[in-house]
Amino acid sequence: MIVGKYKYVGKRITRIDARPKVDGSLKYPSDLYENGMVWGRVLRAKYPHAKIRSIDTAEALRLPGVVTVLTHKDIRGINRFGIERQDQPVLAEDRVRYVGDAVALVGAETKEIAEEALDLIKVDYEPLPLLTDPRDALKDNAIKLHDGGNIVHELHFTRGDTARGFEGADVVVEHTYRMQMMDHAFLETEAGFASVDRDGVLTIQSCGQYAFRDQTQIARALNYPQEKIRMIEPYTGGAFGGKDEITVQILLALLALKTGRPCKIWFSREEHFISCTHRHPVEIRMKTAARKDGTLVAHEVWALQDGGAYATLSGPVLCLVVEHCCGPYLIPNLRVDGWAVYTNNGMSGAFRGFGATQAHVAMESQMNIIAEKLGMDPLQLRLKNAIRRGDTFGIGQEMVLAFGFDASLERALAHPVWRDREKIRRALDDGTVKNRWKRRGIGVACSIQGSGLGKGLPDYAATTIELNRDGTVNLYQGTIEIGQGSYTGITQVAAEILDLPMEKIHFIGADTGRTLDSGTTTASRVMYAAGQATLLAARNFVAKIKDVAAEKLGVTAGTLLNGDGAVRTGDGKGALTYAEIARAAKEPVRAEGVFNIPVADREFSMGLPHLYEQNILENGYFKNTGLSTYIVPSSWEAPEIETCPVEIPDETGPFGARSVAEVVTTPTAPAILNAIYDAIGVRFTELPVTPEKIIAALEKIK
Amino acid sequence: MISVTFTVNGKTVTVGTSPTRTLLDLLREELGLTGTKEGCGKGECGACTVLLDGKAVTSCLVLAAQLEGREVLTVEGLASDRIGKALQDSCVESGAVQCGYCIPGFLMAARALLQENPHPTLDEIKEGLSGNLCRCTGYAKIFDGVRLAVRRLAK
Ligand code: FES
Ligand code: FES
Repeated sequence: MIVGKYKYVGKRITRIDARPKVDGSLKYPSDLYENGMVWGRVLRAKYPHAKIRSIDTAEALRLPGVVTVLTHKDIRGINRFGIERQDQPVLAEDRVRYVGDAVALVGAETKEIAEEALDLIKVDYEPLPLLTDPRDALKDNAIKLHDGGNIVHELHFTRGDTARGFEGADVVVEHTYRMQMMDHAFLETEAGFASVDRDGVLTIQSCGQYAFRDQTQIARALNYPQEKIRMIEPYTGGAFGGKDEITVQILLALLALKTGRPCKIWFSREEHFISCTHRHPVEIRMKTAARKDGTLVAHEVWALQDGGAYATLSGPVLCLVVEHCCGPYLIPNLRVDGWAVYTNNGMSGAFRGFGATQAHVAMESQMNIIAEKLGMDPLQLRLKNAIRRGDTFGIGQEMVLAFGFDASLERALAHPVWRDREKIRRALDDGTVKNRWKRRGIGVACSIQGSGLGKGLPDYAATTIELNRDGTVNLYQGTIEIGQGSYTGITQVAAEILDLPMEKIHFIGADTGRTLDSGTTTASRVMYAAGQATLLAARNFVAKIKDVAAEKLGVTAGTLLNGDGAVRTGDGKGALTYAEIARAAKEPVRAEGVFNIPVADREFSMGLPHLYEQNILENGYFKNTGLSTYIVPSSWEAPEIETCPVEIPDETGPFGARSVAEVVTTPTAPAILNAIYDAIGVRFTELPVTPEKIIAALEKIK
Repeated sequence: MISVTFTVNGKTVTVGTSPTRTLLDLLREELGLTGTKEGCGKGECGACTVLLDGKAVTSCLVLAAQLEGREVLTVEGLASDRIGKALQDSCVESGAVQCGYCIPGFLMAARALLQENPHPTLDEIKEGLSGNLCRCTGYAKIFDGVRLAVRRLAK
């Protein structure tokens, strides 16, 4: 982004949502209450895999204050949801496949009564054998979790001839890496509020990452007319991919339709841990070969991804594991085989990094191991093999747009931490008592990730801008503010083109009743796609107001200039403010902008937690379901971070901008793994790495 | 059911409630003060932090029966307080707010910290805020916000 040329873009501007967040006035989905509302609570499965013989709700219904107890029998539609494949029941029928499966839904006058009623529902289960090892899922004689078998998705790709590549190589390294299951642990657990009016129109205000898709999923699961469902999802207290799939939405719709009353559902922290999607555990085996001069010549990858009980986004995540298995490097001979399978281990889906994270842990470890074998600077090895603009890499992606990888590597090579790393590492070897037990390591890792959904998927965004009579404008944008700051970025883009102060632009976020479909709030795409759509909408808007002004002033629109909330004639003699234009216009001034991400755009583009967090499962049961047992970094673990941006403006993004959400979190874990090796000479190939594991490893060397 | 009378942000309130309702539920459900957030309900995340007689407490662990005659300050009342207002302003400016769900809790914990120790070191800030979790910011900008407020209040 070129700073200085613009009035709003690239400037440090306060987020438009910061003030209402610090004074407590912003309403999150969990903040909605109404007198007379019904509290919904979900009964979760007792076993990770079992047949349901019967569900008896009579006693729960008799509890005073219980309004309703719903089961699958109360659902008229397909009773299934899933972004990619609809295989997950809203309320389980005859079988449960993980401990988070919803079995019944209670509606009660208070949340305490709803909770009590859960214990009174009698479910007769017949436990079934478990499938908890993803390797077993691939076996022919494995129990089948779904009618179609246990494979959610598989991918196989070859280019060149890896066998010949290995033959001619000077070093070959082969390792197996295991990445753990992780929780998004956003601070606001899944929540929402629903009501239904006399005409049967459902209004659902909830957390989510794509209001329009949620609307479709509700309509399909409950067989309810889509046009009678309005989803409002502008703000949520963190998501990171974990609110991409359906959580509370369909249950809320069901409860509101059945009771006719306003309803609230808010998952408890424990319920969140067991029911929601997680980061996929993935096992990756890599065999990589290089020549003496560092040139990578062959690479074989085998990846097995544990998707848990239902498909959700396992397929697309596997695609990203496979797409990123070469990292940002050119390797002529490649073979990759990947599987995503069903098990009874909870459920995994979208999570920051979306498969690219797991692939990079493996590849970036491989790079350092190779560099050491060759006696080469690990950064030089990367530079030697770096992809550049114009290259075709990985599984055939083309690097058609701006790309700054080699420039970033050069920058890192010149950085004092890298240049003086020997000295920095040895600084602790001073023989003092204080430092006797300390070791310091310096690690490096790189990553590549696209903005946008990827090759073949339609990816677009649309923005509407409308003029108000007081000269302010309304900006309607259907994406979601999950904390990333995109509503502010989008407003900046509009302010720049309209030349209107930010506070005169009223932002209206995700609402299927008012905004246009703008796709998902995922894949680091929002600032790029929605930003560009807004730029186009703003340009169209300026053209429209100039037309109105031209007629009123009796000049041609082409001679008019736009600035500071007014339109002026070239000689400055005639001028109309936006408010005057609004009054002069015969019909409301409204303009749209639609932006399609170029199809070829798949070329580029919570690191620390990846290192030591883990959802621990035993026989399909979650063992750590609270924030005192699932430990997330606290203020003490906050690292000091220095960022050195290398800015290569991209001509297809709004003002050259790109989204940088996910790509920056990916290299953290492998960089630290490499630093640990640098410090103590122990190579960890399995995450998480905890202090206990490090001590155990050190004791072994002694 | 019991009836308790206490003050919230300077106003006296009386509510009829079961003695085991939490202060967090009373604030959010009875008094409509939803600025105080719930992230765990078990004292593990700090999102529900309020000041009780000037001390930071996790309101999900305070029961109605403990409230008689006590004084509660929530994020909604923070702007009327010199330290509180400075913290809000500096957190807005330093970019401490992302999804923002954790921010009310941080502000209240920081308010208690600065009351006791107007010139905390970075480590003292970390210690004072160590009961509050944030999943978005990586904490650094929240510390920046608190330090900015400290500098401004010293003037
Ligand atoms: S809600 Fe009280 S500490 Fe988490
Ligand atoms: S800003 Fe999202 S949890 Fe702190």
